[in-house]
Amino acid sequence: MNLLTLFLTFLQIGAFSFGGGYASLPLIELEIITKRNWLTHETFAELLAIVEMTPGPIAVNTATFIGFKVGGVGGAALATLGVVTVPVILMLILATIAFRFLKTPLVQDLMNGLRPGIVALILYSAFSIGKVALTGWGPVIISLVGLAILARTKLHPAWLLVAAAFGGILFL
Amino acid sequence: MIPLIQHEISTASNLLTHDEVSDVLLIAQSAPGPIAVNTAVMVGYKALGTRGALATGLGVILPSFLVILSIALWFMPYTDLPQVVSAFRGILGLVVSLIVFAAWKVSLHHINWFLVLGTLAWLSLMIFVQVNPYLIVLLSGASGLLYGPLSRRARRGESKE
Repeated sequence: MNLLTLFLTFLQIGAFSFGGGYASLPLIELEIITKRNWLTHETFAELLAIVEMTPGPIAVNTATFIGFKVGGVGGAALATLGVVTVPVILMLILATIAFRFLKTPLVQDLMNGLRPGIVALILYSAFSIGKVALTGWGPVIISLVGLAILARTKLHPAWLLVAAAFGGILFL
Repeated sequence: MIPLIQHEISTASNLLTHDEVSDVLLIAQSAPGPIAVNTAVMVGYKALGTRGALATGLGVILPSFLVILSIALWFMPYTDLPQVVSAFRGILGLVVSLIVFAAWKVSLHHINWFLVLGTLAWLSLMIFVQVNPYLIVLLSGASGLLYGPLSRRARRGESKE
């Protein structure tokens, strides 16, 4: 496995990952599963389940995990480094430019345009993971009940994840 | 996580003022990359320059890196156990709802026709025509640059009449 390819792949994913971790999952899916066949959809879903149970940024955790699967500890380090490189450099540049830059109409227009794209990317992740995850009534019910609780209460998702895991062990 | 950051940075440690933290968060969410990493790097830079950015960046990445590495090394061999498989099926059901809820939270304060129609259009392009997600990022960004000036011109036109 070419570690340089791994690094460059995550560099590219990091540069396009607007809108947080879930919005970057379609990029990861395209690069890692469709283009390079490094993982199957099932392994990817399994990995996402573990990432959800672990604190820390989703994109970073996912990169570490896939990097490890593909290239061991070195791969984990390179993939993690890759996914944060462009954002970190951009942050250092933006920190030196006046904050007022963000309030210009140009940047506001760009952000307004990106928003529907980001929401669509996030929903596409749900669609794609859903195809693997929602097999049979059990997971569908967990998903619907979970959504209702998330929408109605301020319960921390960690508790729901623990409950879903136990629900799975007991009933699925 | 945002209230946590607000509290630690401005209330508990006085690294930045409350307003500065709000600006940092706005930039961190607008730029590409994990929001937690972006926020950490910018707070570190504002407080102590490049060395500060390096310290906070490592600080936010290292714990999750080590946790994931430990899980990959010592837990992955057990993922074939039937109990683990069942637990994963339960967790993944919930993961779908967590993702849908995240989409809702992003839209919450911005619901209008542009957002609803745009989201439907981009999502259909991805699902039915398999349009590349990179292209969705580029095209949706471009659509904003087109729509913004057009809607401002339309509004000016209306107010003249």
